Amino acid sequence: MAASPLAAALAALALAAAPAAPENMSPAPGPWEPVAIDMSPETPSGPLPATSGATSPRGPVPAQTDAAPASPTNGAASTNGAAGPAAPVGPAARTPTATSPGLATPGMPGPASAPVPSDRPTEHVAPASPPVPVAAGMEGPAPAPGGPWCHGSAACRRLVILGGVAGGLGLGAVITGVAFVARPLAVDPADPTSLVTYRPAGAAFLAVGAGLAATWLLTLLAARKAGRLAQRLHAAVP
Amino acid sequence: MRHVLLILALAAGACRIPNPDHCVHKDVHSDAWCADNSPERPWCSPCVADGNGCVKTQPDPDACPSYEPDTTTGDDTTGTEG
Repeated sequence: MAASPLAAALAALALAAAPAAPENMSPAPGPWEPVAIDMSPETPSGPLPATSGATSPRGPVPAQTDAAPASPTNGAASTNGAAGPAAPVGPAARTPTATSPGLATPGMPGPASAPVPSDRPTEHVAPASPPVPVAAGMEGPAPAPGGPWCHGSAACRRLVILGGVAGGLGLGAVITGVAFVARPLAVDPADPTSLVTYRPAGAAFLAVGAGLAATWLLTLLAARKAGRLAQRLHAAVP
Repeated sequence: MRHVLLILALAAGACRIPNPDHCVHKDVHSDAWCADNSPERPWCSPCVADGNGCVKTQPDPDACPSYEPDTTTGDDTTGTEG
């Protein structure tokens, strides 16, 4: 606790002169209270050397109090002393490591930004967005030949092809449906009490054709969007 | 040949629906309906399509097996009821 015999003697004198302290008070009141929170490791050779190069007439105790807020770890006291007052050594220059246990004491005031060694496992934070391989082929900066509509986008070309197929099938279905619906009713020659009609089949063909036409339209819009995206990518990447 | 054409038509999407103009579907008593609407052809033949299926002579069961005479014969001259 006491950093030097002189400090211990002064503390004893202060305790003797002070009135009896309540039970819930610290047993070391007085002007030497900062000495009680000295966290510097004691060395066999006595007090630590002057860390900031400043000399005090009161001895090494003020030197410790001066060094306490500047170096919470105090493990690099020799380096502070070697650096001298001109060396810009701050909290950011110190890197507390796990190889210096016991230096960080709970309750010890220190800089808010000082890292505290912890036993928690290191969290591996994934990057926000994984790197995208640009040269994968589909929509990259490479000059991709294609129509002026798709700007080299393979997805756009696929959508255009699928849309064309759907549109062709839809057009055929619509034509067939119209032909079936327009076909007049006919008496079944095998059973005169019945009629042969193609209207239900025509309605079904029309419905399928309408669905395929809608698919063709949406696919065309998606292809157009893919083409514009490819165009923007080409414009962004020289 | 006609059956083949019918099968082909059905395969192409054709549907068979009852002929609403035929006397068979006009009334339960089809002969009476023909007698009321066309007195010169008071018989309803399911094997004929012309004239709503009404014929002058009673259909021959051998030539037209699907023919069934009315339960109430042609003496019902008041029309169709029920």
